[in-house]
Amino acid sequence: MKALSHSFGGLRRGRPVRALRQVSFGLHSGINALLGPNGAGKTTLLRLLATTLRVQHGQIEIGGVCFGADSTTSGSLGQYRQRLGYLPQRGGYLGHLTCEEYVAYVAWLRGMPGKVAPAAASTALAKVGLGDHRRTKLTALSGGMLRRAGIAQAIVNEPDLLILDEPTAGLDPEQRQGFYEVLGGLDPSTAVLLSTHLLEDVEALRAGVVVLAAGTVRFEGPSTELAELGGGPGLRAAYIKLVGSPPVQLPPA
Amino acid sequence: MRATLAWTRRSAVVWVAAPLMALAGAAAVASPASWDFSFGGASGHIESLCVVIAPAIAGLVAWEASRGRRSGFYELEASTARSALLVGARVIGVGAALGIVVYVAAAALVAFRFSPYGSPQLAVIALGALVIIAWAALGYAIGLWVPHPATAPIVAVASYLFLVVDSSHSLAWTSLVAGVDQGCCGLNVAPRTGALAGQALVLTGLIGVGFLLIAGRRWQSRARRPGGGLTLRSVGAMGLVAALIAGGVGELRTGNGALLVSSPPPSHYPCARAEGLTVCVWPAERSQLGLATRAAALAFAPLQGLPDVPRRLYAQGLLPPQRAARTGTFSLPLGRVSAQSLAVSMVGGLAGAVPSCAKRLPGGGASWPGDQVLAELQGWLIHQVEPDTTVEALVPPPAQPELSSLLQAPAARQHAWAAQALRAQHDCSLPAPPIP
Repeated sequence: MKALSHSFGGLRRGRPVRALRQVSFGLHSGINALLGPNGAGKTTLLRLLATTLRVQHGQIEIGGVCFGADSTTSGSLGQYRQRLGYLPQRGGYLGHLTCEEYVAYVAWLRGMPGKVAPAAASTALAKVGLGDHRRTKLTALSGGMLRRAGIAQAIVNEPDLLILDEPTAGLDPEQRQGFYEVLGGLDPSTAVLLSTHLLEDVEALRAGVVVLAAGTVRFEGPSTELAELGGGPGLRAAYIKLVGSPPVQLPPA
Repeated sequence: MRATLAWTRRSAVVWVAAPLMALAGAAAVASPASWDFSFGGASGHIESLCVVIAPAIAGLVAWEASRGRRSGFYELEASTARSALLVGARVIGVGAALGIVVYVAAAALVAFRFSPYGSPQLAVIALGALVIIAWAALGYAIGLWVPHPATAPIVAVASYLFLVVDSSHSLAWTSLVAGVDQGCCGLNVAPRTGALAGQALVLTGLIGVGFLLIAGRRWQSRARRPGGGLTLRSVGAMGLVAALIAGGVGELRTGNGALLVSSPPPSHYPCARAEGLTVCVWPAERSQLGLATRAAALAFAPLQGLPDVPRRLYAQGLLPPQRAARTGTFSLPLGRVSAQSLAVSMVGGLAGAVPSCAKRLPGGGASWPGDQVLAELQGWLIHQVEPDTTVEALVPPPAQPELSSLLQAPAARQHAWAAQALRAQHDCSLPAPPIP
């Protein structure tokens, strides 16, 4: 993505807030972590990639599709959306559906024929360890299981790009470990972009890292390079150096 | 298909099918306000049922739409490949289909409960279905734009009030914008094609408004092609919707004082001939024409030698363009009836009316010479149609000896007596003829 800028608010809502300022970075196959404090612009960036926000400035070029405000679009947004997996920050769960119905419905929305969607849903649920809960309603799931159901819907179409907005928020260490295992089992060619403000996530996943703060990219590279930037084995020192404030720390287990 | 069927099964719309059916059923069997017992009149009553069904469906569909937005699912949905219009059409379709099923079931209940006769005004009933679809589309769009938990009940109540208040508006064309007109139809009036078309245009336009709002909600938020703002296609769609509504309103405002109904032209009266008799009924009674013709032949063919026996018969209220001699009227009774009992009712109408020359009595009655043999005449006329009926069943005891005597006389003398007796029922200067 190149020179992405985005503002919220405007004439009637008071002074516009600039969520992203000239953000440019590249996405690679495997896991890419978008690290930053609250309000850094992570969700805005992910929503732009998920095409649920209109690009105001800059352009996004991914998988042969180019879309943005200043450029000529190439490729089909519809095809891009078919090859996309997305777990929004708020989850987007339909509590009145069972796990299988929910995931199959999203599969249909992604463009999968209705006849094959249930089978794809079963496969996705098995991948995230919810194979035995296919007929359980989403309202009956725990927080961690619900998040896994969300990941199942995001991978049901075996996406080329998987966007996960704070997928580990609210999960206990055991649930987070389960989540890492699910991500580890994905096709290595899938590009995963997940946002988090937990350094533990990045360390556990050994992901490529983009550090975002105040709407700008402060770092882009492997997590090992980020650690070196701080001069120590962990990422904490580098994070403080780049962002200016300490990262969110998990309560002791 | 299974994925969408599962979604449909879980829809809130499906879960309220039973209570909605009960509600519509109660409205269906409630005493009709103004319709006569023809199916034409019942059609207006059936159409008015959508005043109950459409708001309920609108509220439920609004709930479905707002639930998706409140849960954040709309954010996920916006990232998918399916068109918002397709997703919306599916929700609206499920809601509208349920509403129409309930509507048709309630219509069947009206038909069963009140056994109206004649043919239904299908265009009017179809308009009710269009009202349900239009409000479902608007309900979904409103739920999408205003995802508050209170949106659904507000949509239901507001649409109910609109349908009730607008359809009872004193200004004729305004009242028809709602697409509901309980007093639209009757035996002697038929829906005006232009007004029905006007209502259909307005309702189709409202469906278009709903879908434009759905598209607008998605357009507002989602990534799109550069310059993909107001495209020629979207401007065209808005223009088409505006034209539909304007055209519909214009049609309702003009022509025939904006009334929905007009009396059918004489050329539309269904008529049939049998044994020298012509029988005409209202268009709404077309399906009863065969029965009426058989009954008329049964009643009047044997009596054609008598004076004033009609050769042309018209259903009650269906006056011929120029009242000709030897014309008569009859009423089609409620429910199922045999040709013979209808024939009895027809011949009964030949005698019994008080002539204008009759002397009015202080107690409220009337007297004329012919009325002295009225009972015998009525009994004799019915006996011509039902020869097996006993004299005791035909006339009261004082008239039974005379009728028995009359029936024992030769047929020619009976007919001669009946001719004189019939004349005496209209001409007060003629005495009652003696029983042969």
